[in-house]
Amino acid sequence: MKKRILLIDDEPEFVELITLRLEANQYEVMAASNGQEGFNKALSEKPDLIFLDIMMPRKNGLELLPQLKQHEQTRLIPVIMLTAKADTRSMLESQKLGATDYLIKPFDSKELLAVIQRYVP
Amino acid sequence: MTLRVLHLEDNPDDAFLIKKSLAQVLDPTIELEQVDHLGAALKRLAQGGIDLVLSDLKLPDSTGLDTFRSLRAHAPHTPVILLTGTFGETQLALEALQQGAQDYLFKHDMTTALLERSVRYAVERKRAEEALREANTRLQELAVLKDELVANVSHELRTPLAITREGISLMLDEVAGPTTDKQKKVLITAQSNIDRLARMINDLLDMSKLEAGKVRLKRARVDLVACVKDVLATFESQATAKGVALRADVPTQEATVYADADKLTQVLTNLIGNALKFTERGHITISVSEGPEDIICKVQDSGKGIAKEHLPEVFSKFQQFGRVAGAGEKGTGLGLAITKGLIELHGGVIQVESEVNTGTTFMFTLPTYSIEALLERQVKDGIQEAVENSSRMSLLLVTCAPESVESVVDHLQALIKSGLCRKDDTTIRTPEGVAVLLPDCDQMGVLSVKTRLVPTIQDWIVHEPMTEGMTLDVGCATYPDDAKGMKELIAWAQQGTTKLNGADTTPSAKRITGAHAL
Repeated sequence: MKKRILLIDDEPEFVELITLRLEANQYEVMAASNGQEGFNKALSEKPDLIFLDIMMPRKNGLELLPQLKQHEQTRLIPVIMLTAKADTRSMLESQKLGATDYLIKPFDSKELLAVIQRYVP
Repeated sequence: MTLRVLHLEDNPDDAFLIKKSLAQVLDPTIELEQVDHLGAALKRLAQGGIDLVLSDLKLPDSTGLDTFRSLRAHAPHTPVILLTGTFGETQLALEALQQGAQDYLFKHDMTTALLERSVRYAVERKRAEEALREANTRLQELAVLKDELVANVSHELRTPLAITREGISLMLDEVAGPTTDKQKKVLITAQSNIDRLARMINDLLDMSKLEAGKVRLKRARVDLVACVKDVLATFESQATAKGVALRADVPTQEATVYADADKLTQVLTNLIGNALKFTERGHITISVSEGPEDIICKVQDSGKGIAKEHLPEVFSKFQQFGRVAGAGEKGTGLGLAITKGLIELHGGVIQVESEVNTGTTFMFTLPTYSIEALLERQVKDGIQEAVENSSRMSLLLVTCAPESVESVVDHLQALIKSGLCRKDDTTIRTPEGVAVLLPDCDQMGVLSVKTRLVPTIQDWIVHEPMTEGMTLDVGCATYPDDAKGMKELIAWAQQGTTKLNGADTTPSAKRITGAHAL
């Protein structure tokens, strides 16, 4: 069965291209454009892995992350931060809040696929 | 123009003389107010409107430099002229000049002309100082804005870059339909320049942080030899492909420096990457050697070299002066500037020597510290960190007496290290033993670490024959509870409260002696 990935990012063009890439690699992709929608989708869809942006309107990534990690039904889903924020503080903060890994934009899609492989083989 | 002058003088005769002299000054017109003690002067200054203070140093409620310091503290922007009566006071006044007084006048040979000139100059000079101060404040604000701008712009650029890169990558991988070899070649060029742009953003951010003094080093004991070998390994395949030999000319033993390992890796990566970029054949040799006060590292290549006239600008930003790089990663023009900044942050220096068509050598130094200085330095940094995080920091010292064999202390250090739980706790060799730095750890915390370590250490000295005749002293201290200064904290921990006796020829004699204030 195809692994299911939830992409939470407010940049539609970014979502479009990453979706193309992931689908080409036999993943099923769902997308949400803000934190609130992301939380709802995580609950209803139960994805195998979540890519989470930090800077988003209506609940940013660092606000959503602890919610995902505390909720009984989502806390075991690996969350990979996928963000343009390259500062150490955001990285440490994400790690503290329970993020599984951290990818900085721009990245090589090989890295992206390797990360998925690592956490949902 | 009217100048409001406050005259501070407790001697009525002197006060009268000044009043008379100032009455003759016509331009600027002077409005004089006189008070006879410091308290009254400070009160008057607090009400505002005073343009200049003339002050005696010896007053009923204050004498000497304290008088000037109080005036300056209460009205930092008001110029002060000191009036002195004795040679001793004149010496003090000279000192006050260095601390910001505008001028001083010797009471006994003061003339109206002299007073007038001094008053006028004092006001003018102070005005210029104030203007300079304002300009400086404005510049500092601008510098902060610039840093924020760089940080924000770098961040904003990343998302479009990510989209562009992924778009190209999708076409290259033919996810969006087949591409011809010719098209692929074009796309690869585009992609490698997107990557170059991304590197530039990283370098710009690094440079901006360095210039703003915002880079904080996470120092620890680092073996430069191991660091060099690690970095060399990452360049191995690239060098082989180019046909350039990578050589390491390093000592067999460790070359320990107190440095930030990540930043050192960045420095070595920059220098070796740079050498490889400009070397088409021959070799790149990295050597590490130990000088009396520092460790010297050289990165030497047999590349095309740098023309003499360009050498002084090698470390400037955005200088690439016609050295055409071969295939591979293109530079950002910031690498060497960042490298220099990082080395200097570590207290080292970096230099370059080069001869066209023969090669280039970059040489940098890193200061070595005596064991003693290293401990002091690390405790100092630990305290600094505790201050910044408004947290506590504890120090645990295990002192061996008499001074022990190196290998015994090595063993002891390994033993203590294995008994620590937190990643941030570090063990340091000291002249007499081992120290443990425990960041974010209070008095109770360090006592529990001590309680945990003592039985292990005791067990060890009982069974280790090399500890014969040795006494161990275990003590601890916590910042800021026990001491606030670095030396005081170390001294406090040195007054160990638990003594452990080393191996004895008679097995029954092993015991803990001394007070057990655990």
